[in-house]
Amino acid sequence: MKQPSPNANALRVASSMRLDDPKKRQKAQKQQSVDRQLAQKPVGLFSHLPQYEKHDNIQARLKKQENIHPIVLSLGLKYQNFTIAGGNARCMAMLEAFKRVISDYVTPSGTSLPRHLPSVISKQVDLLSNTRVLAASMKTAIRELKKEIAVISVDTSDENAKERLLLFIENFQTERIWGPGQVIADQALSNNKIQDGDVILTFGHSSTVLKLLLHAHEQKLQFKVFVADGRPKLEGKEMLKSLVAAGIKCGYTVCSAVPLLMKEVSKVIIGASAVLGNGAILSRVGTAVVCNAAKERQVPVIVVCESYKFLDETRLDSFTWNEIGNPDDLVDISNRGPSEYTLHTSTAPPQNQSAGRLAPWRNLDKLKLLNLHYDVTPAHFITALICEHGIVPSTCALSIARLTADRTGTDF
Amino acid sequence: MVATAASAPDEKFGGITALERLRSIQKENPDVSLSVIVVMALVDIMKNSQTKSTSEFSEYATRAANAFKSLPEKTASMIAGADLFLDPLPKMMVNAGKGSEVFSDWLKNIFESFDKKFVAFREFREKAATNGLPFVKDNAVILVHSYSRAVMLLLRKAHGENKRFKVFVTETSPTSSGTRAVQELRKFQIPAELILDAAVGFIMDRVDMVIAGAEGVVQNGGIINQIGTYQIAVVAKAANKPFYVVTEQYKFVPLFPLSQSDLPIPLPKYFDSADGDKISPRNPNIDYTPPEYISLLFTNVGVLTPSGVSEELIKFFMG
Repeated sequence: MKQPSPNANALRVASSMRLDDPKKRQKAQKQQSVDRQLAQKPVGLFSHLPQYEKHDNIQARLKKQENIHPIVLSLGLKYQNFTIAGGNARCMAMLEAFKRVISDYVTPSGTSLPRHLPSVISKQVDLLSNTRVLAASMKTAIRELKKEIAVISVDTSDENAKERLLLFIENFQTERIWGPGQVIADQALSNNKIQDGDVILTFGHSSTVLKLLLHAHEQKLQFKVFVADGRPKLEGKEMLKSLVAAGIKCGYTVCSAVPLLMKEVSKVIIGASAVLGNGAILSRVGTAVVCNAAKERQVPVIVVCESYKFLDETRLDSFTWNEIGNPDDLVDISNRGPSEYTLHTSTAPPQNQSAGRLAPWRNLDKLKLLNLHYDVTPAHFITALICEHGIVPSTCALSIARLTADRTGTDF
Repeated sequence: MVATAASAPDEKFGGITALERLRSIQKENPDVSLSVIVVMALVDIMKNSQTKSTSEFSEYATRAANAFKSLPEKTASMIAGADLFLDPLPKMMVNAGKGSEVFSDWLKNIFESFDKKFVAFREFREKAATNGLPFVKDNAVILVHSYSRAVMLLLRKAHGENKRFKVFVTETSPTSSGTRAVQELRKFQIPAELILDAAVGFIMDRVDMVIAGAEGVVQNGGIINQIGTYQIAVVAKAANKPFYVVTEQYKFVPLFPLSQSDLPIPLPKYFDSADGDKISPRNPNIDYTPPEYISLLFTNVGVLTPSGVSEELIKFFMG
């Protein structure tokens, strides 16, 4: 009988989540294309995850500049500044950029496109992952694109190969991202999941939820929407703007007020960055709080998510994996309204109103700031998951993904 | 396409309406579940339909099935039956396109496959009850709601295996079907006692388990059943008593209710008009029991957890 190797039972954790090991961290730093400075005040509990300072000029820190396409560089900056944010938008933009990368690509002599192009793509991906952690949506798209490159035969002319890849990307954009969003809206409405008189609560910004609500409004359904929002990004404002522009009755609140508001709400509809294997969802930080409040009041929680964001991974908490954002974002409270300051006029007015009292945090020994981007909402908070294949319990996301993969002949 | 497939509930198929046909078949087969009756009625309609092409067939079939789904008297089982009938049609249409067989042969194949299904369906309840048998322990005290053929069969089988157990049956107003269940149980020498629906909380203390039937099993593993089932499940959960469901696979419905008010039935309008002198209760005939209140479901495909039911349903309607 074959003896199992001694490491067979060792815990297998991706090396990107083991950065508390100095060797692994050095190796990771050596491999990445950008020379980044480690965070000045890293948070110990999250030392296994990458924690770096934010660099405004990422181009100057590039190690091997010649490999990065300028459009990818500019895209990276947009990711970093949150000009482009959200799973679908980031993935769409990345694929758009890759279209340019592929059409500008010239195979060097002595190699062939299917052998060389993947390494070029990997370089671009590496740069993007240094601006912000890759979203589940992007990982799926990259995996599928590389798979498509791998099946191109070596004798295909570059022109044909490129044409095929561009077509593939276009199909991915319509069939996996844009189309399913439309189908989800149809599914939800044809099953009467939004009804006249509903008061819907949503959190932050989600393109899929927005599509659904706009579609419901077009069908002349009478409903109200509360947008709950969380600091520091306040992405719900964007959502609110789009909803108000369409003429939907809206309200706006912060996520700490949600439990109070919940008795007015008939449904919670949220988007997701990813649906995990155990039915939990990974979403913008604050979602779990909103869903918890809904569960407490027995308000149904509906998650809308395209199936390309279903992940074959299981996570039980938000600690094992997360994205750690720029701590300075927490310091900036410039989005506070002026009326809030007038309350404090009896004492001396704050020196720097936009930075607030946290401004000197880097010099305060015992103070560390933690800006997490995601949280995990457990499956038992979620009533239903609507994807393009129908309405299912979120624990069935994986079997749905597998079944459709079987049917279309792709592997999952 | 949509316009042709739409149908009114009083449209006549072969001279009689969908409901009339349903009632006549039900009279001939008193022991068969409603969802299977619906499939039988639909096959009957199609046999007398005299359609001349596959597309005509499928259009007529869809129209007839939708007639059942739009009946004012529709129940979850009727929707399950209509979907059960419609489900294999697209596959059959594809097959028809492939072979060069004559339309009449194709038609014969369809009816034969349905006949085979009806034979298989007959075994379903038997299998479901058998799968549930090991859960009925000696000296058990069981609470049963309403009259369900599947639950009755399970209890009879357990009794046949010489297990000693006692049964409390709720009266199940407004149908009083509990009385019928007690009569039948006593006929088989099973100690049975009738209790008020309002006494469920009182009785839960001395009960070991609750067993219920189902009119329909929905996509998240919850059930739609006679009104009163939900509150029993809630009480059972609060008292940490297992809540079991005996059900056949043909009752699985591709529905996903979010709450009690999200059911495919006309809901009573409260505070709309005064009752006048005669006061009578207003309630729907069914309610929805969410999956978190259900311990296990005994089905013909095995003993499933609610999430196991979801997997089965997805396999069935997507595979």
